[in-house]
Amino acid sequence: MLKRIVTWCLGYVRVVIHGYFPERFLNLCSARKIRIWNVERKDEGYLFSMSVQDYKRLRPIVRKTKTRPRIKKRKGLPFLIRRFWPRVGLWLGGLLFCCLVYLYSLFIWSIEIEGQYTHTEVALKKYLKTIEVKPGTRKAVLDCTAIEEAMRKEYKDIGWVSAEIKGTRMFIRIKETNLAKEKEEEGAPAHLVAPADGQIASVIVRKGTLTVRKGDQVSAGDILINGVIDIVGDNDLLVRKEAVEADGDIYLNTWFTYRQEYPLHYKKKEYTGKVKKKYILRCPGYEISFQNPLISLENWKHYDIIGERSLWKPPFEVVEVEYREFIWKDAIYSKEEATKIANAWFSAYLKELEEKEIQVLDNQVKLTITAKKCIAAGKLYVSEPVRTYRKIADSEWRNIETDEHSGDNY
Amino acid sequence: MREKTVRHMEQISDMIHLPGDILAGAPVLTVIGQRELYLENYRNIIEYTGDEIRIQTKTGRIHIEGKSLNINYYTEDAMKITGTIYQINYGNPKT
Repeated sequence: MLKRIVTWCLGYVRVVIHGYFPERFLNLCSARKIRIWNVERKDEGYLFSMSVQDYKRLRPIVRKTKTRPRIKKRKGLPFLIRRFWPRVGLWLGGLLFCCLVYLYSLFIWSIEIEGQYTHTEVALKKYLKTIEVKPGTRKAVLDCTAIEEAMRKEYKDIGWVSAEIKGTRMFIRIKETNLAKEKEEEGAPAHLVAPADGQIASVIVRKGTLTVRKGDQVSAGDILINGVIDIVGDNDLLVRKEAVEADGDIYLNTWFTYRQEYPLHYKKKEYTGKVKKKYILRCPGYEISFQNPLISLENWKHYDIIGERSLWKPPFEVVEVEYREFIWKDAIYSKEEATKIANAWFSAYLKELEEKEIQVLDNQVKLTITAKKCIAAGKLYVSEPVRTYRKIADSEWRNIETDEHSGDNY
Repeated sequence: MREKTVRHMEQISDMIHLPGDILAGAPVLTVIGQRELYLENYRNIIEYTGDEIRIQTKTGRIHIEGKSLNINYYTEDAMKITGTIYQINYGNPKT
């Protein structure tokens, strides 16, 4: 195939020969390495193809074999060009085409972003627009390294950015890093302290010195399990002190205040009944939409957009989009409605507590509905696991002087 | 070719199950159906009309008869003939 294309590009001729020794002519051609193909016998003589250059070398062979060659047809690119030479418009069009392709290739026409997770593509593109990176920007102006740096500076949680221009597209790949919160070192010496005032419900200690008993009243900030352990020798003498991370299960019975209030007045969505439908025929990369141009959405203040996708013949799909106009109307919750909402909020709160392993012992929350507000307020008596730690400072247990002189070697 | 190399070549062609006289320049014909013929190791064309082709090879003549025979291409030692082939004859090597 390639050979045929090359032959066509170089141009070839169909030649007819007639005379006394056509076979000898063919043999001589092959002996002189003149390539001949598609030999056919016709009434007028022998018809074959050969290249233009070889045709000029035929003269001695022709003389020897007493044959007469005649060009019957010219084929290939060089002849085609010669034929179309006078058509100025065609050449100008071709030139214009090349120029336009080149000109358009100087700009970027689309930006593709990959790897975003918490940032949306729209937001990133919006930012890129502010630093003059948008479709239609000249490639020569763009500095990929600068874009990368700007993006890293703008978004602190983007750890790695790569901007690359491929053809007329710009690819931006990002990797978001969730900057780790400064977490207290695990296992660092700490006391377990009371988060609030209350009564100790139960105690289990795994590590540390227990300072409270079941039933004790404690106030916020009191140490429940002390992280400093005294190591006592055989003769009841303090050998040394050691600091550990206090560990244990302590349940504290305490009071929580709950207060939730919201106005009874609210805005209600009311559909006006005006509907506009739009159909989109979509296949990967392309879409075309059909809609009634007489209904304009411009005068609509608020509307819902409801889209329904259905596969037609894969990969084509039809999306039916419905626009429904609505207005916000003032409304007041009735007593039942308000109670229902308040109950829903409260049970959500209880569920939240449950997830934190907090057990509700007594519930004194009451609902009051005034003219304008619905208030749910009251106290909850709960039993919560204590998970508040306070770091132990070195000065609390380490005596530097004794450390230096400790040991029995002296 | 020297005698030693010829012996070597014969051994090789024996090993790959080819008749030994290939090395002596015998023509190789590959015929596909009735419409295509590849011919290697030929010397020259003696006669060519639309209905028959006579070819001189190193070991003798080959006479192909058929209808509307075309030579698709021919190089120094191979050619391809298309058309409808009726007969392929081998001539007397001495003539």
